[in-house]
Amino acid sequence: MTRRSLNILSYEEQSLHQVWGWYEFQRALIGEEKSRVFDSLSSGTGLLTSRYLAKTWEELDDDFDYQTAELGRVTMLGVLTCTEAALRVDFIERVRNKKKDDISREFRKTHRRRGVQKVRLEEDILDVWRKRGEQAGLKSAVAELKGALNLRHWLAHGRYWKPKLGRAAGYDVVEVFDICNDLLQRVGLVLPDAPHS
Amino acid sequence: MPHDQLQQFFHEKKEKAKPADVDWSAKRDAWIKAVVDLFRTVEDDYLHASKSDVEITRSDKVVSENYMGEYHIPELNLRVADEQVVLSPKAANVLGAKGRIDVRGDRGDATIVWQGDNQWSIVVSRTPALRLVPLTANSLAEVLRGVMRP
Repeated sequence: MTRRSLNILSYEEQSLHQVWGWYEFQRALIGEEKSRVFDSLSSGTGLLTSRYLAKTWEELDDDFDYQTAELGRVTMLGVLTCTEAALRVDFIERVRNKKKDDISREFRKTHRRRGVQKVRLEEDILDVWRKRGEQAGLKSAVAELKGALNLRHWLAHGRYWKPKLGRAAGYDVVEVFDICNDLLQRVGLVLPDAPHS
Repeated sequence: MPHDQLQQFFHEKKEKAKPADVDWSAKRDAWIKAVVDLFRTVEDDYLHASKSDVEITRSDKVVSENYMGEYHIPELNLRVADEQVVLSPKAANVLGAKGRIDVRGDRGDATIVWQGDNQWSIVVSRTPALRLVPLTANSLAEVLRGVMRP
């Protein structure tokens, strides 16, 4: 397979909404387990699961906060990487389908220059959308995602440095979802939200 | 949600949040008594032959727990030369046991749980499987070896 080969897709990437569905499921499990454990504690009955043995109210609270925070971080990484995947798959399909729009033409040029594997998300994809895309709000959507990518790098590389994030206050999982969803909607890779009734 | 549904929702939440029919005062008193009895056993029985080497003192600790409020309970301090180990009651309202004492030394901590009556156990490991060892003079010695300086 040459570096220009477009035949690399696994079709195993997750959609943004699959990642979010997984998050909500896990979040509910943590909540239900917390409820079960605290019900047991407040009723004075013994619930002998070794992971909880002899833990106090405050320690259990801290444990569940930790689980929720970690789930949030793993989910933020999942949301950001599936957004990257959607943008990269779109890049490949635009090159493969030889579409005539400005974005596709720019992508083909990049593909001729760099192949597929060396395409850079920020410079070769996001910056093209920012310069060539005509959708309202796209420039700020790209800027927001680029800011959040620092979070993605930090999470993906084991969080060992002090992160400089796009938002000084950091991100929560809903904010990261909204940033990714907004960008993917503006580039047409996710259906727009239904208007509120 | 109409107002009556909101009212019902919060009423149900409040009812559910009420503590179960547990005599928390009795639970607290039993816990304090168990700790006092244990410390007496440790001092008079387990450490009886070591009294010339170890200085044993008690101090008062104030613990605050949900449903039980604030209460006083003794801590047991074992001092050998410049090193001290504290057997410090943590709480009665813990999961899977009737109470817990933390053993804090210079090198680490250990956990002792009360399982009712005179049954006390040391938590040797939580993962991959829970392993409890009954508290005896010998197992206490093992704990102290683990938490005190070598």
